[in-house]
Amino acid sequence: MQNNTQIFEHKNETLGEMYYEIRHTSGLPIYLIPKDLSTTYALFATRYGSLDNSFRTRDDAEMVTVPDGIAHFLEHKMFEAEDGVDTFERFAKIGASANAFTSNDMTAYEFSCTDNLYEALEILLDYVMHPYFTEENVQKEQGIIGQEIQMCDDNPMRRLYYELLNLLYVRDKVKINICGTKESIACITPKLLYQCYNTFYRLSNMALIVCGKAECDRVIEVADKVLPVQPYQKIDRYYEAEPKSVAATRAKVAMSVARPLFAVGIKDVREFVGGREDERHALLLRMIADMLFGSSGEFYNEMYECGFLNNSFDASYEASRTSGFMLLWGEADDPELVYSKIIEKIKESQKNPPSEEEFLRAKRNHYAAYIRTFDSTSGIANEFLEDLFAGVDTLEVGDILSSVTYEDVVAEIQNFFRDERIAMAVVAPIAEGRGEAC
Amino acid sequence: MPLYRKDLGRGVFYNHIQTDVFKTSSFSVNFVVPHRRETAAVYAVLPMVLHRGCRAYPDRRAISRRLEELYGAALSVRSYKRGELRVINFTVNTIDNTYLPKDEQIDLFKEVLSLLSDLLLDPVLEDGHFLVSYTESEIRNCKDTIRAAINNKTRYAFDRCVELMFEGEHYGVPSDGYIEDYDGITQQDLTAAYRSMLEEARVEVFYGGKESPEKVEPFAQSFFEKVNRKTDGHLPDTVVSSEVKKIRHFDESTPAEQGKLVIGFRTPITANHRDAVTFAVFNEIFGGSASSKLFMNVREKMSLCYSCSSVGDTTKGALIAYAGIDNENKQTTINEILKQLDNIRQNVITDEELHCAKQSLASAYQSLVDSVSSLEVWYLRRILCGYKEEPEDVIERVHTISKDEVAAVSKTVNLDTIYFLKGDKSALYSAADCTEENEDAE
Repeated sequence: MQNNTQIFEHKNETLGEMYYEIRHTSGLPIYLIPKDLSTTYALFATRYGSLDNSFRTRDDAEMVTVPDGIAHFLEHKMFEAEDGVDTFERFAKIGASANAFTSNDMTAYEFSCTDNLYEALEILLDYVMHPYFTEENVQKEQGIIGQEIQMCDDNPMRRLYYELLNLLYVRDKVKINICGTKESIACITPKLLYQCYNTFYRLSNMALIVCGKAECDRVIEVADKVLPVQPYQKIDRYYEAEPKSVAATRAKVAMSVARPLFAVGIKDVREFVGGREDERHALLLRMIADMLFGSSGEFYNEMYECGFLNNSFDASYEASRTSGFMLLWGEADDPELVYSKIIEKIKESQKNPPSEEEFLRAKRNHYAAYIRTFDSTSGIANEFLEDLFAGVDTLEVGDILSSVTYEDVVAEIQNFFRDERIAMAVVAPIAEGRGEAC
Repeated sequence: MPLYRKDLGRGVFYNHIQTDVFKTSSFSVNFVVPHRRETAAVYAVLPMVLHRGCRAYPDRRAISRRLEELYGAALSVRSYKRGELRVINFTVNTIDNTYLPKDEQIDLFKEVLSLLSDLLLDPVLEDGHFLVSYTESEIRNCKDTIRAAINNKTRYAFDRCVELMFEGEHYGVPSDGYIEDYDGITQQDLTAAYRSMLEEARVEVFYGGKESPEKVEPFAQSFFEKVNRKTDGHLPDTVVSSEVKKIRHFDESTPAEQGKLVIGFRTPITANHRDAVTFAVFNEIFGGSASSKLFMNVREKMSLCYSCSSVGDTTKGALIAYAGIDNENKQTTINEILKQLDNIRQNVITDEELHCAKQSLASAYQSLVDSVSSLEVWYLRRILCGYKEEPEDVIERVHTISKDEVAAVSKTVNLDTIYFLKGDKSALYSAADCTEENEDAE
């Protein structure tokens, strides 16, 4: 076989960090981030998550739509091997510890180890390249995932989060529960799993990230041994156009919680295109969230001192491939009161924006958080992967952050907050929710 | 990297972990006191009140601003139970000066230590006592935290089992005590607890980062110079009671989809016991990892649950197994968990299970050095439990352990308490959910 593997070096002198980009002959991009820690951490990931439920490749006669929760179901099922040898055990035998996760835009398989790196890497590439789905093992998983769904349903923060997404979005698929529902996963069959696997688990749609004490030659050697050469295949993914306004403004569910939990969301109506611009925009909104609602601001401290909020309150900004929103959530006896104070704060900041000094402090804070990422192999690899799939180079994030200006902040505060883009979900204690009309 | 440890006298100890692999440095002060019902509540409130302000930075906002000025320095304040001891921990962490802009003159580490010193030693006082407003609001927050425990059903069931199982022992007192114990806390109580923490608690100071002990130790020295320390730092031992008088069953219920099963066992094996490492291997095989008997059987073979695991607490001699299940599978799951324990007792352990358990533990110990905070937690535990081994010694010992030893250790593990938090679906669905439509959508 002709080997066309190419290696490129990327450096950031200020940070003292670098990585190798290996364009492997198989079609898989590999990123090796050297780090002198005893744990090496690897991630083998595909751009495939709960958002990808409608797609088409040139092998499909028409657009394919699959049940909710199938990407996550597939992740569970990848641990099953034809020879019956348990994948966790294969890793455990050589002292590596394996796991996996599915989000709305990716599925990632990971391991960490202190020894036997290349053996572990071989197992990782091997098992993800070899699906084995049968009627029997699919049925078994429906039981396990059914319990996972129930566990998540009992988690009030998670319920709150999805209630909010359902308020914010009319059609955007980000509101689909990653695990699916008991009903949707009951429709999953081995045939559907193979179809999704064959579409999304193609090397050109994937990436391998290794962070720790690893050598390029030996990583390439393992990839040469395990990976077939796969030509690029185009995947068309179908998304629905999302209106600018929220779907609904309030939702309230009753659960067994001590005090009401609230989540206020502010929908971002920007066109998400990926790459540096989206990253810069996300950093800008995170800084705005900090300046308006963070621990050094007037709003939070007044609300804390009055007992309206406690230290469970958090302000952040979340973005996916297709959408973004600012999230303000916590516990409060009176969520409507908190909501009105939030709106008041927004209006006030549009009249009197935060000072430049506040902006500089927020910037320092985000810069420090960025530096801290580099203190653990799993931290670096996960950040790197997220950035990579978003079209951003992690080593450039510091520069992107520096490029955000005070003027950007002032303009975005005017632009971002609109009444018709705000909603609030509440999880209330059962005694209060029961029989109550709203 | 071995620990440099020095007795600074009067119950204050300095611990230094020197490493140059990180971009940050951390410094922490741990006050260690006995964990008792009488003081649990006041010691939960105290660090929260200290976190509210000092004379130089009199409120939370001023503190947060200062931390941001110091390039996102982090301050964390925690108070937790370790066996029958309580640790009140204040940690500061900063990025290294290397990563600051070239023209920046500030010495981050020195500045953040000065902030920590202010918070601990120079709080905002009025007539010699903490501010009433700070005290009242933090008492309310602590009570809210205790009430909010039910929000996380898994954690709640776990803690509830421990509380019921160790009823009458200090270990059974919840980490933050009981809600009713907060009502009587006066300004005087809080001030007295503060003085007692400063003057009588054992103090363990930790540093982790690039600097040498010569540079950092004087800071630790100076911290307690002005405090009138009245102790040699002696702490009472945790009482180990491995005998089971009667197996007890508890059933409670909460509105939820899923039931939570928690099974508590007692063992005489604690962290400084000669079989401590064997116990760790045993737990890996039983329910401590994804290749354990519980995971492989209760989850993978029987499909009863998504999560099923076990965790040992060798500060007390406890082993707790856990599963999130459908209510109707309660007895099947109990039987299977006990059957797996029985298998280990009968030496039904494969070579692979033993091998995997050893590898997994060795790897966990090797990776301790990758995080200053994990090392600190590990060393503090070692200091408080009174054993001497370094992580490398433990790894060496792990590799020598035989199946017979594991089986022998498993026979010391005795079933004590079966706790079940039933998921009451009917209560869940009778509650009203509603959504308010936004007529302007689209």
